[in-house]
Amino acid sequence: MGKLKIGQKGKKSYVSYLMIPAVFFGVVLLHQAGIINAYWYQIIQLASINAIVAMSLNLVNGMTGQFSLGQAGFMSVGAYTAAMMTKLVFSGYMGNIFATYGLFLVSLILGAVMAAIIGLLIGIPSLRLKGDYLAIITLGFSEIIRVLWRVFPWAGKAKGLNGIQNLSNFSIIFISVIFVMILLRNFTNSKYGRGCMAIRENELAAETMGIDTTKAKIKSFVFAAFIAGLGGGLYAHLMMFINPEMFNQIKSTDMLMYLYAGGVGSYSSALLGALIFTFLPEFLRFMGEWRLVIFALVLILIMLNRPKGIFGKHEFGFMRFGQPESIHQKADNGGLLSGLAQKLRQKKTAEKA
Amino acid sequence: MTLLKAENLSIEFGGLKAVQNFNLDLKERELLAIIGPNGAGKTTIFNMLTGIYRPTHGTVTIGDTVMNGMRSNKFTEHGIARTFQNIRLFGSVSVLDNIVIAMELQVKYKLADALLRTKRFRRQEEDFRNQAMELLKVFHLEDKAEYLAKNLPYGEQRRLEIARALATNPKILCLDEPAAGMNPSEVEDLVQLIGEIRKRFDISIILIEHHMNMVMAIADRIKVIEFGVTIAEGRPEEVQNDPKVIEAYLGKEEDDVC
Amino acid sequence: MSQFFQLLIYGIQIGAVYALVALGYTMVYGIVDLINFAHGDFLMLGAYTAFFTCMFMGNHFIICLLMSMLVAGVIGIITDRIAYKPMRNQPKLSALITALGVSTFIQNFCRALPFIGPIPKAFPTLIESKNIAIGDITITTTQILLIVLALALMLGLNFIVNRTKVGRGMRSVSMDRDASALMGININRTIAITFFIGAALAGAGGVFYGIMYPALEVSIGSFLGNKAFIAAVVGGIGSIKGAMWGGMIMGVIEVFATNINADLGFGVAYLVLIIILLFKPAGLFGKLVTEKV
Repeated sequence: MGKLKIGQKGKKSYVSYLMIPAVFFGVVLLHQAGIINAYWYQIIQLASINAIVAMSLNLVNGMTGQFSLGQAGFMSVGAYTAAMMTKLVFSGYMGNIFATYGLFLVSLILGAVMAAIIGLLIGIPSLRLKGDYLAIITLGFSEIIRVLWRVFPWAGKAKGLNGIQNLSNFSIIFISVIFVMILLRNFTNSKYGRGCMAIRENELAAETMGIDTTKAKIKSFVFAAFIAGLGGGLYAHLMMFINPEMFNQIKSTDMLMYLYAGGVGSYSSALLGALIFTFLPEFLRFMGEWRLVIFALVLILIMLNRPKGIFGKHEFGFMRFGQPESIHQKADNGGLLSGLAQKLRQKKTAEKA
Repeated sequence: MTLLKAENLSIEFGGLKAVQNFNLDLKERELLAIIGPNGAGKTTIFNMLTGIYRPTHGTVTIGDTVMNGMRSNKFTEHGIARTFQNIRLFGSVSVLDNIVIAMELQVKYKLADALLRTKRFRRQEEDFRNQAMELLKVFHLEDKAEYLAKNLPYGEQRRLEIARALATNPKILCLDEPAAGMNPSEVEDLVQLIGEIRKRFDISIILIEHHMNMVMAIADRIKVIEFGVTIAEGRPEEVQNDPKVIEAYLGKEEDDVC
Repeated sequence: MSQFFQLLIYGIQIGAVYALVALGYTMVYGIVDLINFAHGDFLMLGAYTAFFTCMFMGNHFIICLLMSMLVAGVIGIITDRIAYKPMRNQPKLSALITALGVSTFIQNFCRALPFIGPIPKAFPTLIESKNIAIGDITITTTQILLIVLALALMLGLNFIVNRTKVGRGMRSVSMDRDASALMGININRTIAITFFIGAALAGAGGVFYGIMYPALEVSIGSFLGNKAFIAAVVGGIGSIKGAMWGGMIMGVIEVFATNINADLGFGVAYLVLIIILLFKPAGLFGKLVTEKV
C-alpha cells in the first residue's frame, strides 16, 4: 500500500476555485452593462454582508452545536467601532486613496477585534449554559448592547451615527466574503474545528478525549464574534448611517433564518441562504405588504419539508480544498435540492423500467 | 511507582451513598476487572476515576499527580482514557476523524498555523491521519475510514470507541461494559481484541463487565462491588469461590448450587 | 411612600399580563420542548379580536374577552397542527426556525390585511373606570378588575393542570411523551389542549393589555411576547408557578426601573434575565436536567 492517502480516493478538482473570479467579474460586468442597476448592486452588497454574519453564526450553531442567537449585537459593536474610527479618529488623515482604504481596513479590523473582546466577555459566563438557555442569554446580551448604544452619548444615542463615509464597495465586500470563508475553512479543518465538532456531537466524550470544551467553545464563539464584527464594520460603511434599532432582535433572528433555511452545518449553505433570503423580499416587492407573508410562508414550507435546509450540509469545492465528498458524507448532507434531485432520478429509473 | 491510585473514594447523590470507600491500586500492564450486580456503582467508580464526577471524599492519583477537582480532559492528559457503556461516538463525523479528534493532545501547532496552513500544520495533520489509519487497521476498521460513525454496525461502533480511546495515547484504558449487547462470537472476538491491545500497547486496563466467562478468562485481578462497597478482591479463581460473591450474585439460600 | 404603592400596583397589573402570556410559553415549552416564538402573536390576535367583536357586537367586556380567548385558542391549535406537529421528531432547532417563520407570517399577514393594516388602531374603552382613593393612593376599578381576573385565570389554570384528567395528561406528556402514549394518553389531543389553553391565556392578556394601553398595533405581540418570554425564563421555563412569579416580578421591576430612567426600563428586563441565568441557570423555580452518564 506504500504511502497512505486518506480521504483522497477521488480526484481533486480545482474547478470550484474558478467560481470565485467568475462570480466577481460576472457581477461587475453586469453592473457595468447596466443589467444590474444601482439598487440591486446595493442589495447584492447587503446580502453579502448578511452572508458574512450568517457564516459566522454557522461556526457557533452549526459546527460547535451551541445555540447562539445574539449575532446582531456583535455586528453592532463592529459597526459602531469601525464607524467611529473612520468618522471621528481617522477622517483627518484620509488624504489619498491608499490612506483612505488603508485606514478603513484598520478600522474594520479594530471593529472586529472589539467585537471579539465583547464576545469573550459575554462568552465566558454564557457558554456554561446549554441549548435554549444559551440562546436566551446571548439574545439578552445582544439586547443589552443595543440599550448601551442608546445610552452612550458619543454613539449618538437613539439617533445613532450619521454621515459615515461610503467606503464599502462591491470589491471590498467580495474580498471580505472570500477572506472570511478561507478563515472559517482553515479554522474548521484543524484541531480547533474538529474540537468544535466533537463538542457538537457529544460534549462529554469530547472532554474525555482531552479537549478543554470550555476553551474550545469560547474560541469558536469569539472567532464568530470577530467575523460578525467585521461584517458590522462593512455594513456601517455601506449604509452610511447606523442606529441601535438596526441591530435589534429581528436582525439576530434574520441571521438565524438565513443559516437554517440555507442549511445549518455548512458555510456555503449559510452564504447561499443569506443571499437568497435577502433577495427574496426584494423580488417580491411588487406584492407590497404581502411580500413578507410570502417570505415567511416560503421559510415555513422549506423547514417543514426539509429541516436540513435548502442546500443541506454540502460545501463548495474550495471549502473542501477541492477534495470530493465521500459518498457517506454526501448521503448525510442532503438538503432540499439534493432531495429533489434524488426524486427526479428515481422517477427516471421508474419510467425506464 | 503506582500508575493509578484511588483512596477512600466515596460519592453521594442527595444522601444516597452510591460508592463508599473504594480503593484501587493499579499496576503496570495489569488487567483489573470490576464486577458486580446492576446498580452496584461500577460506572460511578469509572466516572470518578475519569473526572466526570467529583467524589465527595477521597482522592484519585495518577502517577504523582493528585487529580482532585480537575476536569476530565485533565485526567485524559495524565494518561487515562475510557469508553462508555452507552456508546458515545461523534456520530456525524467520519470514522477517521473520530480517531483524529482524539489526538487533540498531541497537536503542537497553534491557531495561526491552522489559519495560515503553514508547513508545520500540514505535516502534523498528515502524521495524524497516517497514525489514525494505522490504529484503524489494528481494529479492522481501515476499510470504513470514510463511513460516518453513526452508520457503523453496533459491534464496530464498540471497536471504534476503544480505538478512539487508545488514540489519546493513554497509559490506562477504562472499558465500560464493552461486551454489552454482543452475541457469544462477538464476545470471543472482543476477548481476542483486548489481548491484541495488551500485546501492542504498553497499557493497563480496567474493565467493567457482566460476561463472567470473559472476565474470568482475561482478568489478572477482580474487584467485586455490591451496593457501592467492595466485597471481595483477588485473582479470578479466588473471587469465584468467595462465599460473599456467590451470595451477592446468587442469593443466600442457594449456597450449594454453585 | 404613596408613590411606591402606586407604582407597585401598576407593576402588579402589568406583571399579571406578563404572567398570563408567560404561562403559555411555559406550558408549550414544558410539553413539546419548543420556544413558541409565535406565542406573542396570539396575544396580538386576541387584542384584535376584542377590537372587532366590540365593533360588531357592542361594548361588552365579557363577550369580547371570551371571544378573544376562543379565537386565540383556536388559532393556537391550528398553528400547532400545521406548523409544529410535523416537526415533532425533527431537530429542535428546525422547529424553532419554523416558529420564527410562523411569527413573521402571522404578523405580516395581519399587517397586509386591509382591515387591520399597519396603522395603529384605538382600542375601545371596554370598561368604565372609577378612581378609588385609599389614603394617598389612587387605584382604578379597572386595575382591580384586571388583577383579580388575571389571578382567577391563573387559579383556573392551576386547577386544570393539577386536579383534572386533562391536566394529568398534560403533566405526564411533559415528563415522557412515549411512556404517556403507552399509557393510553392521546398525545396529539393533549398537546392541542395545551396550545389552546396557552393561546387563550395570551388572548386574554391581549385584551387586558389593550385596556391598559389603548394603541393597538400588529407588533405589540412580539414586543410584549418578548417580555413575557423573559418572565417565563426568569421564573424557570416549564414551571407554571415560575411563569406566574416571573411575570409579576418582571412587571414590578420594569415599572420601577422605568420610573427612574426610560432607557433603563427598556434594558432592565434583559439585565434581570442575564443575572438570573448566570446564578440560577434553570430560573427561579425550574429544575435543571442533568445528563446521565
